[in-house]
Amino acid sequence: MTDAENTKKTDTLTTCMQSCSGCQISILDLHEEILDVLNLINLKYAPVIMDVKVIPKVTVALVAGAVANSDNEEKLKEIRKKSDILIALGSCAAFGGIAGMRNLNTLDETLTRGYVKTESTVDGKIPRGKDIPRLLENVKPLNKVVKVDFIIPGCPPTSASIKNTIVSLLSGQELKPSQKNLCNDCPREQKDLLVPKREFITDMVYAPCELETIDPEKCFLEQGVICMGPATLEGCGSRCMKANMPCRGCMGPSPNAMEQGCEIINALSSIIPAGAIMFQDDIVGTGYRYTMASSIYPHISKAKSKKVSMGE
Amino acid sequence: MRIGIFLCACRGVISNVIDVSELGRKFNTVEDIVFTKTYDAMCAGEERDDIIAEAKKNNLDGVVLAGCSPKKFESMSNISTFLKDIEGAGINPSKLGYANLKEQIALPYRSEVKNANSIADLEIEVALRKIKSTCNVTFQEKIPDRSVIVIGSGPAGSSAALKLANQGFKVTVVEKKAAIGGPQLRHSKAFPKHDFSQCILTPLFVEVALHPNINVMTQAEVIDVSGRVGNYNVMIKQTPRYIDQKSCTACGACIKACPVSMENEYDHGLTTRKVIYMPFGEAFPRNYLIDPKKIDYCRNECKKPCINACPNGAIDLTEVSKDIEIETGGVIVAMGASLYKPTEFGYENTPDVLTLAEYGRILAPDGIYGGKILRPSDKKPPETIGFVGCVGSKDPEKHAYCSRYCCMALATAVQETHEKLPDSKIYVFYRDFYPVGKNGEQYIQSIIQMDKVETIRAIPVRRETSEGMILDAMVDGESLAVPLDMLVLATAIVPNDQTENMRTTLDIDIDEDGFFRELNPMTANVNTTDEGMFICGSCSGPKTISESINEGAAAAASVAMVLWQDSLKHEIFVSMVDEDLCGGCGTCVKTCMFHASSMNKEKNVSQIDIMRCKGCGNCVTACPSGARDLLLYPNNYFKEAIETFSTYDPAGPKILALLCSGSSYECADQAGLSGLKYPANVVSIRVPCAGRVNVQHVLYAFEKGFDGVLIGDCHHGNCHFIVGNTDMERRISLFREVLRSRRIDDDRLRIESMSPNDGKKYANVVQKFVDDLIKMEA
Ligand SMILES: Cc1cc2nc3c(=O)[nH]c(=O)nc-3n(C[C@H](O)[C@H](O)[C@H](O)COP(=O)(O)OP(=O)(O)OC[C@H]3O[C@@H](n4cnc5c(N)ncnc54)[C@H](O)[C@@H]3O)c2cc1C
Ligand code: SF4
Ligand code: SF4
Ligand code: SF4
Ligand code: SF4
Ligand code: SF4
Repeated sequence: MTDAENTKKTDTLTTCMQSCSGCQISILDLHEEILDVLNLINLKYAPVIMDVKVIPKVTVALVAGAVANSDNEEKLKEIRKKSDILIALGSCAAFGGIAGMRNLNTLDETLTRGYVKTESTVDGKIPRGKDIPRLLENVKPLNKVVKVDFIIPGCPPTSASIKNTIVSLLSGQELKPSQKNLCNDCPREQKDLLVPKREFITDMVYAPCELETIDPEKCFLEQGVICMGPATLEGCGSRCMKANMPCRGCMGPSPNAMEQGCEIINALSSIIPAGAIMFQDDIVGTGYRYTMASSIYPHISKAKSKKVSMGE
Repeated sequence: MRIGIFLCACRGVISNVIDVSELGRKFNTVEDIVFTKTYDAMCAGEERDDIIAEAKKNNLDGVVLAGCSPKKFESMSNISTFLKDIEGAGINPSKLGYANLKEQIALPYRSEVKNANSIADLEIEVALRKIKSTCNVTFQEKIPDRSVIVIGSGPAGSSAALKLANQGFKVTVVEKKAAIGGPQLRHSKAFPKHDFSQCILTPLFVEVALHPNINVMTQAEVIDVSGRVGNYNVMIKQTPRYIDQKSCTACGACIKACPVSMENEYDHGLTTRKVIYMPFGEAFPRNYLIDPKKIDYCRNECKKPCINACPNGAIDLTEVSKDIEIETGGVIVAMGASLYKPTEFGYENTPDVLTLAEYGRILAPDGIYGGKILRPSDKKPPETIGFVGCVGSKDPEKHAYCSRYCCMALATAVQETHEKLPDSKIYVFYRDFYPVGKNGEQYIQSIIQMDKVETIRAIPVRRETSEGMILDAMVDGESLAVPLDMLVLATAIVPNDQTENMRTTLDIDIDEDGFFRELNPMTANVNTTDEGMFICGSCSGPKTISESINEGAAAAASVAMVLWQDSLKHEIFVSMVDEDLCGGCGTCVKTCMFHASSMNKEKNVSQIDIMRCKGCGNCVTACPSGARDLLLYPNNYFKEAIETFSTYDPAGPKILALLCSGSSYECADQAGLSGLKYPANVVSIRVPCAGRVNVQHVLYAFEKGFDGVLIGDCHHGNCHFIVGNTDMERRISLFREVLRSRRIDDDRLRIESMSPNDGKKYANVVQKFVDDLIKMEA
């Protein structure tokens, strides 16, 4: 490509904070369609695929991963300063993601568990030193540190949603993502749930692995398998349900919900026996898997407590 | 908006604690507030007119009444037009807010003046937020249907039916049994006239049966009700009689042919009758029927001699039950009560121990021994008969209340026994004599003074000996042993066993004892929370015949008052669906108790039937997409109210109380009214139903710095919206996992069930919560 061609394109960077890099792989997963994107952008900085030391000034920054340490925080602020549009790419960036679950422990507990108490560790030590970025007490989604202009949720976001967002953004189209919950898109058939009659849709709750067969056409909830679909925004193409697995909520909550974990409790309690849910499911783990860090109460209490029932 | 705040000093009750004038001055400068005014007593006539006038003059579109509890204003609605007048002044009902300065601030916090003033300030702020966050209520105007359905045909139902029919209303009487009249007809003499029940009551029932404006449906039950006052749709299920009513001439030929006998419930199972039968001598409708309990036998096993025996070909075993839909303007429930089944005194296994109701079938002229008093086991006249009062009543372990009929009915039976067996000795064991109604005292005195009657104030215990039964009692420290040939128990009146069933169909509240709950036991005792539904007679608590008849008349007058109006205006405060957010998950469809939510399959979004929605908000809480909202209690309001109250800064812990409008909020009001104090560490928010408690809001309260959250709901089985309290409890039981995960002590979230009049409970609950939280911090 010539420089002239490049000047018509939008300067863009992509990087990650605390992440698994899955989101950036998802960009590459566009395969040949990536060319449609590369026709529009001029990728100036992307540590996963190129070695550029200094964060450049860009129009669009696609940032994946959550803010978990002092380095993340510093970099993110710098990127914000140097970019016009900041997009949170993936559920970690948008909601804190899986890593946000560590907010349910103190920092000390997390480090001890990781470096000292791991089953295979002998004489483990917590690495400390001024060159090592300091872990923050709580993992945060990007928007708790800087202003975020758009989010592309999903763990990882589908390649299509990444492409669509970038293409419509740069070609000046209005971004109008759906606001409905996933059941709207889900191909599975609901029966009992649509009968206006008070009764539980299932008496028992099962883990998917407990069932010999899962009916691939029937709503998971009606088969006693907890599905996060009702409390999750659509847009992923129902990929889990198509693979015969229930939704785990990676697209995050509906825009009108305050958070995902409480919403699934509000919803399930009147349609499935609470006892069965408690017996089979870790409702906190299920409800907040991707969104603990953006919960209404995204940390543990500092108040004195009579008894501590969680953590090591 | 143009909002006016009207503050009340309540003749000093409020102003001695809260500086209402200062609050008025303060809010006068707040945005959107165009007007504030303080009254010495807002509920007086002139002041009320003044409020309406000021609202008009200042062109207000929102009003906050800062004074009494909203519960007081709302319960006035059937005796006062105040709220309607405010509406008439151009204020949409959703734009009328209340700040409960009196019951829940000035009264309980009267010794903590500074805190009381801070909370009062926030309470007004929250009321403002409420009227700003609600959408306007819409209205629907309809001409009322001038017809009424009366459920039950005992004295109460018949009285109501007749009084309405005579005014020209079309009345449908829905009676569960095969004949109208209720159980009193089976008894012998009735107090206070001491005349036979049938002689007194049959004329009333005949009138009902023959009235051109009354349609009597027997073997019928109401199974579904939708709609609103003035225009209900009632679904009635009618079991067939298997005998054509028009062709049956009641000749009785079939009875002789029928080869099968079964228990006769008219005689409480003390006798038998044929499967094909007439319920009793004076039964209306005067037609035979085949007992539906045996129809499978008749159809499949019997040789059916009755069919040939009937000269009119009236018998048709193929009839099936029908669902009949009736449109009606009002519903009167008069379904009576049931009787306690005793386990005491060896009742279950001794034929000579009878309930008073069963004994009535011995005393009655058409009784099982032709009106003679004989002992069931050997058919000999008893020489000693015992009567025991209050069996199952006035006993905290069974039914704490007094059944009201028993002393008098017992005295009636004693007198009648004495008339028939002048030489037999009668012993009456009683806890208390409670004379009821006209001549009550003379009635009781006359049996006390009979020389063959001995009245013993004691609760006896039965002992069985080879000679027969003996009742042992302690009287004035001395033991007494009374040998008896026969024993009669005056058993408690208990709620009709259909109450629970009907509660869910009709959505009428029930009280602590399980009877239907009146809107107000003093000023509105036949009204319910539904303007078009009324309760009368013993379905709302033990009553005598005359009381039941009077209540029937009161219900008739009340329903007529509503239905005579030219048109009725309904406020439609329902839940709403945002179709852009609803993904059709179906949660709301399954959650709604009232079948008001369903799925629009074409659009794949849920929809609300406004004729069924009661505005409880359970579906709004359940909707995981935030697609539903409740018109009068929207999500945003709760969020803002919690935010506002979170700025309150008392010394010590801070508690948020979410109190259901049905019980707990009133319970908290009652605590204040009863002069009780509790620490000013709690702020309260009214929720329409515990089912509207969204766990997100509870978590938000903790995040906003509340140290504890108290959820007040109705006692089990008493929820006005049937399932709101249980659904809330289920949500909270799961939500506790969330609290634990955040290491928030479980004990900081409490659920307490309260009844509206139990103010002491609220005060104690708050006091204990505050004490415990202080200990937790220590
Ligand atoms: C043993 C005894 C003796 C008494 N003696 C006296 C006395 O001497 N004097 C006096 O004043 N009072 C007396 N009482 C009290 C009196 O019987 C009641 O006050 C009176 O019957 C109440 O009238 P009601 O119309 O409310 O109910 P009921 O008379 O009980 O009538 C209720 C009717 O509703 C019907 N029903 C029930 N459920 C349904 C349903 N789901 N759908 C449709 N219909 C239904 C029933 O079949 C019944 O016909 C006595 C009570 C008892 C138990
Ligand atoms: S959102 Fe998922 S794929 Fe993306 S970085 Fe986080 S964990 Fe990885
Ligand atoms: S609950 Fe899950 S499986 Fe059922 S329709 Fe919704 S997304 Fe599909
Ligand atoms: S189905 Fe659920 S967990 Fe799976 S990709 Fe979609 S939103 Fe994520
Ligand atoms: S749950 Fe309550 S608010 Fe919702 S539709 Fe049913 S009656 Fe209406
Ligand atoms: S619960 Fe909410 S998202 Fe689900 S169908 Fe009802 S309104 Fe729609």
